[in-house]
Amino acid sequence: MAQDVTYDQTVAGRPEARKPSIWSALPSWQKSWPGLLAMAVIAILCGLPGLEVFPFTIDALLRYFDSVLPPIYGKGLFVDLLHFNYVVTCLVAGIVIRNVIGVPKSWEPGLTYSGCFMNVGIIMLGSQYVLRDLVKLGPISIVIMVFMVFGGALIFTFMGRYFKMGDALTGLLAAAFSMCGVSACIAIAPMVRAKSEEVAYAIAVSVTFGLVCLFALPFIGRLLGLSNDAFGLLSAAGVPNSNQVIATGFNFSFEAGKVSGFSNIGRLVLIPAGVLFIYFMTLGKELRTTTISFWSVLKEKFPLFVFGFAFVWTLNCLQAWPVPASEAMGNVMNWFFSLCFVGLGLTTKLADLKKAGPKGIVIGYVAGSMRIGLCLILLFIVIKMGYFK
Amino acid sequence: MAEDIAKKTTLDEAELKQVAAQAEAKQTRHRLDEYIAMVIALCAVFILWLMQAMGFY
Repeated sequence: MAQDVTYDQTVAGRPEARKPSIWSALPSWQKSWPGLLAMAVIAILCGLPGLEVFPFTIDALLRYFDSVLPPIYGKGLFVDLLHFNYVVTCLVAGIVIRNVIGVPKSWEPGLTYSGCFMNVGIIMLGSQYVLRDLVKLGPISIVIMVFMVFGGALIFTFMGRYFKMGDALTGLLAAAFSMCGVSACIAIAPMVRAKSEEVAYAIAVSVTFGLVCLFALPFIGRLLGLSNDAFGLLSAAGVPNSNQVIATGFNFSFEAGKVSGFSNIGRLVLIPAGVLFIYFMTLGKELRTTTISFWSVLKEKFPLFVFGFAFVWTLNCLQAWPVPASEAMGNVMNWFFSLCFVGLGLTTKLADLKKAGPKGIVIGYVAGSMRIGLCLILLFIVIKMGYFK
Repeated sequence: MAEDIAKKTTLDEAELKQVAAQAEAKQTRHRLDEYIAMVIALCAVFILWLMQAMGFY
């Protein structure tokens, strides 16, 4: 009688056949340290908030230029008019190094940790919020995020069908713009049976759109006289990538950055539902080849670090630490965000603009701008109705 | 729509597998980043709380 031999029985004791540990997905410390060190040094040189022990920073240099140069309409060029803060300085320094000088190959593994630093910052953001903030921002954030995730996906589905883009690319762009950019795009790729060049194309469009938003949205926000809360919500709802969401918020103001980080959590929590929505919206019945289970999608895509945020926030609400400790946590949070922004700049390739191509720019940017317009209309309605300032 | 279905069926299966493998690798990395972030953030919070309790600031 033939005996069934299981995988475990066959390969037991053969190290070469063992399944790789999940930790093998991380680059080793030996490979990562140059990039991590580079991010830390550049962030310190840009000027970390709350760390005044090192005076020779780009931030100090810009303030010196402002004091020496003749004022324009009574204001300093860099800090007052161009709003150069630590976010812009870190980003611009990173982008200039990547695109003008070039980034050594040895830095690349370490730079992949920038997303991790963003998560650290978001978890520590919990120390800056109390219960009344959640009551003030929570319900309105949820309503706007739900509307923007599902409404945004509908806009992209409509645009995709109108421009005959194909289901895979439509699904990829809808995921990238409605949820969290690159990650959502890659997560949905196998479900919509996308080809690798379609994935690369959608990523290029979303990343470059986010880059434009990062610098343009704060100016638009100031022009429209948006409050910190409103702008934080706008950046979380309108900018595709999470790193760029938070950078855009902090680029406007510290308070807006806090709100964008908080509201972005709402968007991340909606990823599992959004992925399923896009899957069913973009693919016709006859093209749905994979059996999708809601629970498996929820298990795979739910952002676990949200529990970390909730834990720190709960401790802060229970006054587990006094105000000075909370302020110190705010500074450490900013340092992690600075590392994330430097990493974001160092991984931003302006050549991606070319990769996106004219059609991608038109479709992605028009639909992305429509989402931002929709969000602005929503915000103005909510403000008019007195639910929000 | 018929053309689209035809295009889908003729897609190179190997390429689709490659995209799926990339997605899985990215998902794993994402999870690991989340675990590392939770450890770093909670350690930072604990250290700062400890420093405050010890009267450093």
